[in-house]
Amino acid sequence: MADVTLNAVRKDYDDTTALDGVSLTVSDGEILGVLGPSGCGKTTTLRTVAGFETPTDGTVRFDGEDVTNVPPENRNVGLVFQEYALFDNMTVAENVAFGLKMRGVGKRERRNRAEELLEMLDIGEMGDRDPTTLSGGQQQRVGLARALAIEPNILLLDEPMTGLDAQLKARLRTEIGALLAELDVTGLYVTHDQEEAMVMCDRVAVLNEGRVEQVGTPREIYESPANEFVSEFVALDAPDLPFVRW
Amino acid sequence: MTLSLSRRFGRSIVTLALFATVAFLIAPIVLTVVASFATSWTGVLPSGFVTFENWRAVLGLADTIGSQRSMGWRPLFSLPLGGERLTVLVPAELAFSIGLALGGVLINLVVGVPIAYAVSRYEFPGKEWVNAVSVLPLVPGVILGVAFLRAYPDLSATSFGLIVGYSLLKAPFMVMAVQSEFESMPLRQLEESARSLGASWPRTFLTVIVPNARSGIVSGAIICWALAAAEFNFSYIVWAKGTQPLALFLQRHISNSSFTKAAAAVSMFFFIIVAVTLLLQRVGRRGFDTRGS
Repeated sequence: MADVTLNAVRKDYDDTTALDGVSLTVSDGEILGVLGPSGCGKTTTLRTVAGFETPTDGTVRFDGEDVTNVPPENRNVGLVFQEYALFDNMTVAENVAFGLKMRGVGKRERRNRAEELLEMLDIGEMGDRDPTTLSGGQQQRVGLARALAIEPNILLLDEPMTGLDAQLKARLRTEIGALLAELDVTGLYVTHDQEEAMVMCDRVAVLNEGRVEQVGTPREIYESPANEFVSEFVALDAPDLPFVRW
Repeated sequence: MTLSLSRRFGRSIVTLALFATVAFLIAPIVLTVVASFATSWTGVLPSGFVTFENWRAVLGLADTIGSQRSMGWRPLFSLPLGGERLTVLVPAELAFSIGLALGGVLINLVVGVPIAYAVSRYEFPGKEWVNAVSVLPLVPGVILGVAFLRAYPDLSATSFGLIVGYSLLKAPFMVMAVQSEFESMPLRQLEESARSLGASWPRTFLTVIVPNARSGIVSGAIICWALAAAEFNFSYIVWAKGTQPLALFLQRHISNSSFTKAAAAVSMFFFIIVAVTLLLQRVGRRGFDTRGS
């Protein structure tokens, strides 16, 4: 795991600006939530850290080292998507071991490591299954195991729970939140769901129109919003908030 | 309480309609296969069962090499065996057509899959045009055949010309089948997952993207193959000499030999289409499966 810093990152497309000087730091072992409405630039932020977008201006640093122009396959980042994006041509265990295979780890060690991770995520008996036969929640766990297998510098989660039903979401939120904390994972958690961000993350950055409106602990954001946008965005479902990690 | 009309008769009417349709579609094929075992076929129904003469002729088991040659068989090799010569024959038209169609499918795979990928994965200027142009050869084979002859006079009347023509003519089916498969999966996320796990772009494309789209690729290949193997119009215009493509061979036999012999030839072609379809399906299911490797 590593410190990840975005410094004044700007991303222009032909006629629009997706990111307008975004500066963020994710400290080692911290989960930083990136919260905002759709189109606010949160996914572009994640893709910039992963290396799929090259900033028009500004730098991305892992542990102080400039990786702005390093291609994604050499950045050692883990990605978890809302769509799971599991490889259907491989078994569950092979999905998890894919990153290790790319790194030239031997077959037996790959297998052991994959089983260990699946065990940890409570789907230990599913290694030989076809991923398409798993439920949504199980597939998402496989996606998480696959991303964790490479011991990434940073784990990037792009709306990982948006496709799941409310009950499962609530359970996974607690379970996975605890797991990420226990493993001391450095993570960037992108979501449009303020409740999810508040529960899962150590700190939250609220984005709007490509700019960071406020960064702080969930409590700070909720209790002293920096401006009207933040207070309105965060207040939407506030009465339902279970203040589990405060 | 009275049941509504649709509830009382709905299901049975739908079932009946379905059976009638299937029967209507299958009847000609069944009739043809049956007729291939008959001695004459003058009315609607063939008569004079059961004879294997037609199949013997079509399969190259007829008495004389001459009559075999008339059915389009060519000697593959001949061995001197105790004073007599054993001549092994292959159905040249058949092998030729299967080969031509497979060649066309191969080109379609190499060209069509990347086009389908580019169109479904990326936004780029002219995307609409690429999309339209890749579906354009949907024009009838006659038109493309004439255009092809004028544009590439050197390629006409060669096997390679036929292969290229078939691939051009059937490319839309490949592109459409693969494109709809790509569009039904989270293409960008799959690609980015593999890249972030350390796979280079070519490796991602070959070991993740293509295998994940296998069902679309296989059905595209089956459609392209079956259509190319039976393509008559384009073959008729472009082919000039040498071994005839199967569609022309069939046409010749349908007009020149007895109906029953033609029926055997058509039945054989039908069975080959079924066999190749099953084979491609199997290869598709197995070939892309990297499990346990």
